[in-house]
Order: sequence, then C-alpha cells, then structure tokens
Amino acid sequence: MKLKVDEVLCSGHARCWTISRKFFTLDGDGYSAMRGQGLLDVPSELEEAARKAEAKCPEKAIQIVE
Amino acid sequence: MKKEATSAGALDSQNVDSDMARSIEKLGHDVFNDFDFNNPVFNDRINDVLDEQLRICPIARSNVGTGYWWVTRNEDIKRIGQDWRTFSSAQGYQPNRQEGMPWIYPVEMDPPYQTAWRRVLNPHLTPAVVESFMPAIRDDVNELIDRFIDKGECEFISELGVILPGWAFFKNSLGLSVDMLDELVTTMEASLFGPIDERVDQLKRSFVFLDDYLKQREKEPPRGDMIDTILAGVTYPDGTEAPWDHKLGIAADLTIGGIGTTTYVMGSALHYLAEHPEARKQLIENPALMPSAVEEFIRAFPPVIGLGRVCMKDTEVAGTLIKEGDFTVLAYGAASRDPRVVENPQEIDLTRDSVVHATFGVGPHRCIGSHMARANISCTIEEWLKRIPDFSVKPGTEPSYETSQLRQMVDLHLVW
Repeated sequence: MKLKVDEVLCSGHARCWTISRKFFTLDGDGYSAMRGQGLLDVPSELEEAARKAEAKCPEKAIQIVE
Repeated sequence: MKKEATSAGALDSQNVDSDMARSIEKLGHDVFNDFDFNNPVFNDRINDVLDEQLRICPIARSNVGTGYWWVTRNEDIKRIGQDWRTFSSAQGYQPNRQEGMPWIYPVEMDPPYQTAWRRVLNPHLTPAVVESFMPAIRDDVNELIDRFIDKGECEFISELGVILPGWAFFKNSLGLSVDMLDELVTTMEASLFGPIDERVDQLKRSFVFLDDYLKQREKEPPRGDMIDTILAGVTYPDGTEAPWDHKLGIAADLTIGGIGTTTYVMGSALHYLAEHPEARKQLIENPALMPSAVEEFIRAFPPVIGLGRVCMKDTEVAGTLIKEGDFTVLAYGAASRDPRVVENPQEIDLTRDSVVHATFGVGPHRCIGSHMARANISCTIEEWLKRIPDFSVKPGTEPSYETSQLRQMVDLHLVW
C-alpha cells in the first residue's frame, strides 16, 4: 500500500496525526509533513490506520493507492 | 411560495413541495425560500431547521437585504470551501455587510494574502505547541473551579466558560493581558449577537482597544508571542508590506475566534453531562474515550453556524445556479449533521469511532485555533469531572441562547 497527501488540500486539521502520530507526522506549521512528497510506502501494520486516516480527513487530502 | 426559489434548491416534484409546506407549517418560518439566521425561530429550533433543510432543500434561499444562498450539505460545503477562486472571502463573511464594519483578517482575505498570514501564524497554534500549554490550561480550570466549588453552584458561562478560553489564549499565545478580557468579550459579543444597528459600533470599539494595545506593544521589547508576529507583519507575493489595518484585523480575528466560540462547546458539553449521568460515568471510568467525546461535542454543538463567500463566476451547485456576485453562506452547523456523512446525526454518541464534522471549516480557512479549542474543551471536562463528578442543572433553570451566524449559550446554572 502507498499513499500520498495532497499539498494544496491539506489544511492542518491533523485528524491523521491523532490516528498515528509516528506515521502521520506534522511539520512546523502543524500541517502534514507528508504533503507534496509523492507516493509514500505504508508499513503493513499501519494499513488499517491509513484507511481510517483517509476516511477521516475532512479535506480528502489523503489518497491511498493499493 | 415562489416556485423559482423552491426549484432553486429542491427536486421539482409534488411530494417535495407538500413535504416542504408541512415543514414550513411546523416551524412557522419558511426556512427554504425565505430564510433568516437572525429569525428567533432559528435560535429556538436550530437543529430542527438545519435537519429539515438538509432533508428537503440542499440550498436554501434568504431574501434578507440583497439576499444570500444557504448551503447545508457536507459535500457542497467542502467543494465551496476548497474552491476559493470561485467563492471568495474578500468581500467578508457576512451577508448584507453593514457600512463601516471593520474587516477582520485573514478570514476576510483570499490566498495568496491569506496564505502569507497563515504561514507566520500557524506555528503558534500547532497541535504540539498547544499540547505544551495543557498543564497551564488545567491549572487555570482548577483556579476557576476553586472560586465556586464550595458554593455548590455556579453560572458556568460567566464563571468559567467565557474566562477559560480567554485566559488560555491570551496568556499562552496572544500576549494580551487578562484584564483586557472583559472589555473585549463585551464588545465582541455585542458585535456578533447584540442589536443589529449597534454591531458596527461595538466592533469598532474592540478595534480601538486593540489598536491602542498594538501601539503600546510596538514600543516594548518583543516577547516572542503572536502579537510580535503580527507587528512584524508580512510581505505579500505582490511585494507590498501588510499595512497597519491588516495587522489590526489579524489581532481582531484571532481574538474573536478565540473568545467568541469555544465557550459554546464547553457550556453545551457540561449541559449534556449535567443531564446524562451515564455519560459522566463512562468518561470517568474510561478516560481513553475523551478525545472522541470532545470531537462529538464539537460536532453536535458548532459555535460557528455559517460563514459566507461571494461567488466570482456563475456556478452550479446541487442543481442551483449561483450567479456571479451572489452571496453564499456555508452552513457549517448543518454540514456536521448531514446524514449523508454522519450516521444518526441527531444522536449524541460520545463513543463514535470516527467523528465527521465541519465545525472548524474546510479549505484554506480551516480554523487556526482548532487545536487550542480541543485542548480547552478536554481540559475543562477532565478537570471538572475530577472535582465535581456529580452535578445537574439547577432546578427551575435552563440555558438560553443567542444565534446569528455564530451561536452562544448565554447562561447555564449548575448545582452539585
């Protein structure tokens, strides 16, 4: 599984961060540190967390690519 | 009722028209074709109104003044909130904006100007920074509780609800002194909820107050707080430096956002807990539930009901043609109750696994204070339940509210 975080859509709700602080890290602005970084690998133990985060993001900024 | 206005939002069918007619009769106000957020029916029956609009009429119409559209569905609000090029904030968040109403920024700006300010302001209110304030916020909650716990009763709003967010924000981020809180709360609340013909003057008074403060701070050494950041200003992408009135507008926006809103969620949460002993027990026995409970309170009790945009080019939304120049209000309070995205939205369920709401908005203007709000609410509930686990609404009293584009709880009498 891979995912990407849209740089424009991410507006710093940080709902993904509440699901997994270690994986969905935030930058100094409190926005996703993954935004605009292209496709990133999702470790298998975090696949469920990734799906939750995708569903929970109010901006639909997270996109999973299976 | 006007057929054109009806078909603007609703499906064209007999069934919907008669459903709408029944709804209008029940509510005593045509909330589909002749809506007015200042109408007392909206204040008294806000959830009934929003739920009916969501059910029957995706885009309601107001004819107040020059008129506005009132968008309720979560999906449409997300689309509009994200599409700032088509739906601009630069003419303000209020329909029928009164002459002389001061501008608050960056809420009433578009990218890239809004972006320039968010870039320097965001770092002061990140989740990590806010977390570092939480011990101090807990101390403040306890100090406020200390003042009334032995009386066995309190008026929650004036004795804690209105004070705590101000203290938390002023002391930790904004660098305003807490004895400015009274004056700012009074004038800002009056500018939001008071008599309509006084709202401009009240906001101007807040601005005079903040202007004096900013000028005084300019003469002092920096403290590293948001006021310093505001005074340092920004250079916009067009090369211009932010003028003084932009800086003043920033200070005003942060203050209004900080003190006009969180109180409502806190009061509503305490009211709910006062009336639901089993919910109190749940939260006391299972502290891990607090984040989802706080998020559910935020969903169920949105203090910002709707903020506006002006349409920049003819656009169709949910079957309605919104024309260039049309004022369009995003009813965030409705989006959080949309059954299309929330299961059983009328139920308050503190254990919801995934709370979906639009209380903090969507798009570039996502509430900058959202993490601070969450911290204030969770610290208040946690510390209150430790000190006063059993409490109820004072017999013979019930909370009262005021509603415009925002909503506030006026008072809440609790006893233990």
